[in-house]
Amino acid sequence: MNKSLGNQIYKYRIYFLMILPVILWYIIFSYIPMSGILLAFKDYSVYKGFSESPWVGLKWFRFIVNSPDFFRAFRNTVVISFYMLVFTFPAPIILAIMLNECQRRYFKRIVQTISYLPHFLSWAVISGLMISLLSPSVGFVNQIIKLFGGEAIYFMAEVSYIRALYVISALWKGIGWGSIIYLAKITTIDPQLYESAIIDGAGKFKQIWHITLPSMSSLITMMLVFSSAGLCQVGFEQAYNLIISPTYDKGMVIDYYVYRMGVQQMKYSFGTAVGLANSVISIILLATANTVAKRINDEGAIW
Amino acid sequence: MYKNIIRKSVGEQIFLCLNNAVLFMLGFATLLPFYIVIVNSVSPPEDFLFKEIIIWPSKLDLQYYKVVLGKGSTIYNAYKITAFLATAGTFISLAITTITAYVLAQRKLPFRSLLTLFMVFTMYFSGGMIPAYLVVRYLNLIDTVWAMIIPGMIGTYNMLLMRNFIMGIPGEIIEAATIDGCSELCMIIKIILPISTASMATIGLFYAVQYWNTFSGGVLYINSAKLRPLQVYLHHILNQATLQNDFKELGELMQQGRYKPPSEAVQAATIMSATLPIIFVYPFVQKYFVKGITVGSLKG
Repeated sequence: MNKSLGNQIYKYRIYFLMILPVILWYIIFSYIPMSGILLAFKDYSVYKGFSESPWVGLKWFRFIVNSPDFFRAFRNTVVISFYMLVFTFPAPIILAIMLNECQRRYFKRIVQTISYLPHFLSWAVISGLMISLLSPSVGFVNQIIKLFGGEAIYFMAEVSYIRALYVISALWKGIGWGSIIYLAKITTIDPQLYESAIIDGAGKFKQIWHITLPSMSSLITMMLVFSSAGLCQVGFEQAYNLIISPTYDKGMVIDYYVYRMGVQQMKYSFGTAVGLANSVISIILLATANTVAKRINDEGAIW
Repeated sequence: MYKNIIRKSVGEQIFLCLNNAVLFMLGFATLLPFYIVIVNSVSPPEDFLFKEIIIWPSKLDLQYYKVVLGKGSTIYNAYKITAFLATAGTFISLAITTITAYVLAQRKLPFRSLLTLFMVFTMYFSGGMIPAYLVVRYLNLIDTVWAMIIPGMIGTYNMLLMRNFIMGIPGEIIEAATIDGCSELCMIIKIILPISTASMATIGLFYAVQYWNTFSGGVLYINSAKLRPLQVYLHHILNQATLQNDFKELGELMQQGRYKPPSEAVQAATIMSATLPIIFVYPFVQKYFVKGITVGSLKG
């Protein structure tokens, strides 16, 4: 047995040689950083290096618990990602259904092509578009507000608007791209189902409610479970491009906070601990969502 | 077909009308920001001063593009870096991804599922930003272009897509080639590559967009202004008050006291300069992306 395995490995030696650098890459850039979460339990200093830096147990976590900045960032992350889930999750489903009902083929294709476009833009570009659109002096939105006699609002610097901006920009970026997978699922539905529903006198809404949606239910549950892993997570790039110091109070999120603490202020151990605390919380959320999904719809659970 | 047989009821017609109207509004809302920024970028300074609302430029004025793309503009550094990332990066990523996928597609490879798991595991667990940063720092990659390529070089998801594709190649072709005395290298170059051109194009495009949009890597690992990729450069232009440091031509004009163009217009021209390449290419390559995402997601 051992000999034959040895033979097999020898036979495939060229393949192993080809893949060896890739394995090394995964170790260096994924597995070493993974073990790097141990930094959260150390007092890391660049001069002492990883192994020489002393263990400090849960010091940084006690720090976190007593840090108002962490709680602010955590609260914002939870609230913003929750809003995002509520608004950006159903939107692509609705769009897919609407596209499916659209009977003008070219119009449909044009809308699809346009709606996928924002997915390919970086957050820097999107924030640029927002700055131009919302600028208090010459921004289009404020020009309209002023035209109707209102007063210009500096949306990007107003703390009360920042969460809405997070959600709207995410919606604008993701709605079209998100609809692709649902649309692909809808096209697999047997058209005979619709035919018999029409003969039974079902209108459009009844068809959608009783045929389209149930056919998608397992996909929807599955996607919902995946998205719930995104609770407690707001992307670094979006935050970095969206918030400025006046909007930190309601807009600062964990990923950006980790960057400021860890990279900018070089509190490596503290930054790692914050990141770790956040991932542990989101893993717990994912597991909970999966359990709930299993109860509701067995096919929808991801494990 | 059945739609022709059964006449549409009034309710259905209203539904379709509304449906089309909402879809139209969505398309409109997606394009509006681009339209506004394009108009801003070509409107003469008077428009910004005197018009209540800029919907159409009173005349086509390309002076802001002259400032942004003029001599001595720092945008060329950013273009250079991003062009390098999008070509060299894409090439490296695509080559490594294909080789890895090819190896993992060998059904009889010992430890095959273990190796796959080893890679897939990293899709769900990561050490987070700081440990990754420290690794890059330890390897002395800070402030080099390689910091924006190597750490994100392999997309595990892309690799799995490619592997599934290669596994779909009929075994007879491989067998025939082996009997004809084809070596591994010959197999990759003469058989696998020609068959998988289409899927390599899709994955290559995924990588190209990823590199074109390089942002986090540029923020985390790059301190030198000369090495800023285009998107980080754009962020820098949007968030600083004085633009004349970056646009030499603007500085000279202002020194001569000739004029000060509205910074919104210069920003708009910068946004478009960073976005137009992708908008031009997008309609031609869009269908490959859609194919990529549907194949990957529905087949698991």
